[in-house]
Amino acid sequence: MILNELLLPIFVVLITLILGAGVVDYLHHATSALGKQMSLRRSLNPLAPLYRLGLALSQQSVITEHPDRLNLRLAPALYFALAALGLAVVPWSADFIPADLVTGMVLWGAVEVLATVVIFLCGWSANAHLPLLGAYRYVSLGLSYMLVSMFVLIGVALPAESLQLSAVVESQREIWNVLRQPMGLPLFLIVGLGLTFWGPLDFASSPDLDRGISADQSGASRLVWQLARYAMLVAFSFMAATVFLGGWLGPWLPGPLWLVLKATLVLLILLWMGHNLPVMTPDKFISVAWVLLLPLSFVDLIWAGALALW
Amino acid sequence: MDLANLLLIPLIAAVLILALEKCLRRNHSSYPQARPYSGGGDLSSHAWCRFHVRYYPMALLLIAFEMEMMFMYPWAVVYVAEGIKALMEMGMFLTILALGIVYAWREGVFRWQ
Amino acid sequence: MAVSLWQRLAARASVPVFVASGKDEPDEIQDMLWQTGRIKLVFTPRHASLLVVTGQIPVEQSQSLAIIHDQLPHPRATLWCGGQPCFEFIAAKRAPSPQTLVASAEDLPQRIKETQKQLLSGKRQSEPDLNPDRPPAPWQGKGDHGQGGEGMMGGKPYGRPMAMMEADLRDGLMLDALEFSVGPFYHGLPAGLMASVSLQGDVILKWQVESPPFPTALPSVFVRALHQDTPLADLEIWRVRVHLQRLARMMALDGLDCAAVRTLRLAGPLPCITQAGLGALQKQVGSLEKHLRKRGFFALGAGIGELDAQQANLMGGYVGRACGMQEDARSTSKPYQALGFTVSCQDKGDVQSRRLQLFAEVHQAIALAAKAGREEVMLTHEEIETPVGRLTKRQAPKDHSEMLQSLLPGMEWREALMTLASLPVAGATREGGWQ
Repeated sequence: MILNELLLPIFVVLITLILGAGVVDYLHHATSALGKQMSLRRSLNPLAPLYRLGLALSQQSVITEHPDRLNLRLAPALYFALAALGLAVVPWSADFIPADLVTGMVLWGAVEVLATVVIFLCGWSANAHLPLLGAYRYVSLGLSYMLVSMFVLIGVALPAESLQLSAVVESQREIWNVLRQPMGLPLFLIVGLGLTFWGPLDFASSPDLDRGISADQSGASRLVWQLARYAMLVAFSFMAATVFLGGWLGPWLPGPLWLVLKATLVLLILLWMGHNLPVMTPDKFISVAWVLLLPLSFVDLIWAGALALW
Repeated sequence: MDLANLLLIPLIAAVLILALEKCLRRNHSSYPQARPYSGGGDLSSHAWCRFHVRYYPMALLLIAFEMEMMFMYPWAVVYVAEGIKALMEMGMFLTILALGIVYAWREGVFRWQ
Repeated sequence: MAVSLWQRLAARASVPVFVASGKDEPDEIQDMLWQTGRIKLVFTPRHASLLVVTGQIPVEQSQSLAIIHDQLPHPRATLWCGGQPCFEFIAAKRAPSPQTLVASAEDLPQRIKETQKQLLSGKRQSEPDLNPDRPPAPWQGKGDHGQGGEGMMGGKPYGRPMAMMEADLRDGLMLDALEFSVGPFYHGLPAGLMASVSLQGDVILKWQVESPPFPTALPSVFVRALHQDTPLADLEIWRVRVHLQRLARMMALDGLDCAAVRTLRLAGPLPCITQAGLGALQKQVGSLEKHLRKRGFFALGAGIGELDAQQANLMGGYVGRACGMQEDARSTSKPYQALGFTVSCQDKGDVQSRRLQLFAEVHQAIALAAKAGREEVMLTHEEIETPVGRLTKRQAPKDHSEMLQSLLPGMEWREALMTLASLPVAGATREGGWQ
């Protein structure tokens, strides 16, 4: 009983995040190398993430002058913990849900909000100029995507008549939300890019700041921060697959496998966007988020509402 | 059990990362190493300062919307049961907020001040 | 000491390299490393194992280079390519570290990989710090944690002095202005450019140039055309090359690494391109442009970094034409007129129009090269339009970094760097290029 209901869920969530982070690392570098037309054999080498791990661990981790040591350590740990919290409410099948919370959606909302705090903390605690600028910019992004995410998720909760994620999956038995609410997934993907400051929304560690919040990280401390960021990307992919792609629902294959497949699909889309779209300028994104994306999410919600009453 | 998981999972995750970092790092940094990176330039002050938050009007506007989210969560659960009435109510609410956004936009709130 | 499992794994990973570019070294080496497998160019010394110094570092910049050197995490090593090491006078008093000189750029990738292997296997010692291990602002504070000084402003509890207040440019609020200097090895800036900046939020209040960027070496073909008959096709092909390299750097700054490497791959082998190759190139550049247009590379620059007529006039070259000025030395030369050359222009002087103008000029130059190559047109002219501005016997394209002091203040950091990348700020030296 303890084994099944306590240890197994904890084990599954943590292993998914850690292995998932390895997969993200692999896919990210492999797709990048393919985009650069590098040699195929080397770009697809499945051991490459291990090599990079070895490299990070053979390097010293430099600590900047007079940092906020406590927060410097805590930021990656908390970011990873948030990813774990988000993944914990995702149902793997009808009867295996690590934490089947009635208010699962609200919890995910809290994860998104707290992520902003944690990412800011990471840049701030180094007491260095470029990381601080990255963190500062990230807050503007965090404050802008938050609402879009809430409205999109509320839209998903309407047909389910519940904030519980297992109910949201059940409500997609006939038709997945990605078809029922066509604007939902694209908007939610933008939220995912923001949550992990990935690709076009990489304001925190953008090239113009010479990697911003990561500019003064090296060795193991950079490794754990990357691990947490990749883990958050994994957690987000699972969440997006659950609320828009029908989660574990699917014929022939077992439920958890469907979930993993769908999450991988979401992950690949995000990685594609990361390689192909230019980093937006921070002030332009505020306008776009509030003047374009937010009204679109209103429309999405009204659409979802009208359809739910149909 | 769900609640126990909910507490334990993030806790174990955080401890895992803290422990991982503690075991793996070798981080005695000398002063020249610890110097913040700026491409080789001089640093005349430390980084922490009273920063100009250029998006503060936007942040204020966000608070108004965040309050509104509190109403939306319960609303979403009873929405289908309440039917068209709930749709109208939220429609009105959103219209007012949307007008607020238009006004804020016109006032230039969504710019880097 | 036994080599750990991690180090054995690490030896097979791509080698992270931080490149510090010096004088007389166009970014050719950097561009080459970008395209090389198993080498990863990183944006900050913190992520690198090796520091690669290309070209000669002037004495004034050697202290900055030493700062960068010390910021690399252990184990680390320095490779010098195309210039003499300049650490001796700093490290003279300390134990000298092995200096690795790489004679030719072709050997560089191989040497990088070897050095990394030696570092990881312990065969080569990690280089010690060059600067003394002393706190930058030694200060013993009062109070339990050394937090207090004299009054509010006293003390240096966080290692360095506090920022001073300054009125903001946009809304006049009095807040702390973050002051520091960037460069000369900041990845997002042209090599050698060092500026002391003052920021509020991430908006630039002040941009004071401390040292101008290192002049870039103009491809020798442009200088030759001043004095003797030169195939016009060669001129145009080199124009394509320099423009594409500039565009690739803009893409990298926008996070478009894949597109940037694709662009560099087009630019690299250009000097020995054949007539048949030009047709294919035209198509590839076309599809690259379409790819970038669809993904918003051009639209991103709209309204950013607008130059007024006077500034655009001063810069000349493609910057002037992006601003709508019909000025091009090529329009006064007979061979070009015979080929039907017309000046192409954009109307707004922002980053978007400069990006569009560069692509338009690349297309035009390929077409001219193809036509001139068929007709074997030769050219000597007292005024040559180079990719970075006008070249005469008396004058090479000038350095424009002074202009940044009035242009950049008021811009957001990202916009400022996008603007900078779109302008040929560095002057040109007249000597033959890297080749």
